[in-house]
Amino acid sequence: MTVEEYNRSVDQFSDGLYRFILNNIKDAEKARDIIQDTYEKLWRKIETVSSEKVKSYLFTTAYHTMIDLLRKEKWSTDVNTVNRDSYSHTDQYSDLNEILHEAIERLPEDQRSVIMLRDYEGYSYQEIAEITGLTESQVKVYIYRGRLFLKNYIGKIESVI
Amino acid sequence: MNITRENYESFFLDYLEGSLDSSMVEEMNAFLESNPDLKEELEEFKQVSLPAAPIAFRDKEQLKKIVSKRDDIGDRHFDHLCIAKLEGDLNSAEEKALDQLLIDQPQRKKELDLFLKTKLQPLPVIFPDKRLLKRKAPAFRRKYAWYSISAAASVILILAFLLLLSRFQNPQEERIAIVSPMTESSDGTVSEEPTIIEEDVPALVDQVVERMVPKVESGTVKKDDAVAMNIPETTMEQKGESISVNYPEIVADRRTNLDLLSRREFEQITTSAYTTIVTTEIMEQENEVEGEYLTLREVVARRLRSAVSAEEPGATGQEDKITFLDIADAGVRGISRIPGIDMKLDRYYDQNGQLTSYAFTSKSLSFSHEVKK
Repeated sequence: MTVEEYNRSVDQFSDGLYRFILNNIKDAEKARDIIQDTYEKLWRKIETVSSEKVKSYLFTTAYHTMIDLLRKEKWSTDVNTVNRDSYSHTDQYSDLNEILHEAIERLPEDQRSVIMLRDYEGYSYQEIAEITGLTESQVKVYIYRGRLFLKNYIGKIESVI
Repeated sequence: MNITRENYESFFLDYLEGSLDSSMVEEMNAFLESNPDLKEELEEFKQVSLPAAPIAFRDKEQLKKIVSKRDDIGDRHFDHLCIAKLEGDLNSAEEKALDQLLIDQPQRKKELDLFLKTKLQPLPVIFPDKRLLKRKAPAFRRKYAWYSISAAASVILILAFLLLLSRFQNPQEERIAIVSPMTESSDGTVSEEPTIIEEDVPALVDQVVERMVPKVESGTVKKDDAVAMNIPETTMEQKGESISVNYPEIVADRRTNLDLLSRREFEQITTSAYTTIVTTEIMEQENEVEGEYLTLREVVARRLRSAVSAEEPGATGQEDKITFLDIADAGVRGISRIPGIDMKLDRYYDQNGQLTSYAFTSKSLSFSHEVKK
């Protein structure tokens, strides 16, 4: 890809990439570092990455960079530690989207990532599998479990409200 | 297979269990008639049997499951259908099944609505450091040829300027221009266009002697005139000729080393007290029309092209236009004169004299570029 295409990828994908990482790790500084590191890796491979594949390359690289960071800092969320019944809250919710984003933070990391890639970026199961390194079946299972959790979460919130 | 006294036992077992077909049953009956001793043995076989004991399991009801009153689509299947609908994965059969289910059990519509609400909507997040991520195109990759040639041209233009500056500061190399006054010819007409002759001093004297006053009676050039003409005295003495001119104006031309200027252009650019009306005459090129007036740009173009294209046999026409390659070529030639620097810019032409490509060659770098038509 050319330098112009590289710069265009910054305009087109850096916001979505930043949102994806920020929603996963909830640390703006670290999210920015990951984005810069991701684009630095892209720059080093500018000769081999085509403009058609650049979005997939960016998300794949950013996802794995994030996973590496989480593992280093031991931030990885243990699926078993997620208490799906701890829905109690006292804040007033402004809209459904806010409720959903609070709910998504309670999801295990894998489920959260695949649902965000699916909803935010519109990736197919196969593309999500390539980005995350999961199988397509695993992606479907994670999406299924994640949706079920979100449905139950907002159902309980709505019943409270 | 025929029943014999050697194999009758297996047939007896099948006969008693009723698994023999009708043809074999007939054969068995015939065999028993012909062997009465074996018939008695078969009767004894019939008396050996274990009757089933009347035992029953009394806790059957505890093992039974309660039959769900919901329809045959279980909860998991319903969830699956809802999520598949949200993801756009339902086929037509599943779509119909879900629609039918919602008709039969409208209370489940709320569950479907909840599933449909789980679709995340992107929050307006903007990455703040886009400017830091962007890169500038390396000059070497794409515009290398343009920049390198431009740099070479710039260098040589600077060198040329410095060379001119040194001429300003060195009186021995001053060039002068003599403007002849309006003269009356033998037929009584007055020349409207005075001519300017600009040369180095020794050559100037020759020009003056040969062109302007070739037939004048020999005399003596007044010293004051010589001084005014800025002509070295020794030169005059060496020539050994006296010059008599009708009030020649001698103008020290320190402006450029361009030897030709049009009168019109010159009038526009200077009104100095040391300069008068200057009309250029193209003197160098033999093939030019005498008395042709050129613009300043054309003069520069001709001079440059005459210097550059002298070694370009393929170049034709457009002598009055300066192209980028002319400037670049001049620059490269100038730089290549510096000891230790060897570079050149070659141009290639087709049969029609049209530029087809150019190539830059140096010790450390070489490239060529085809000219798009």
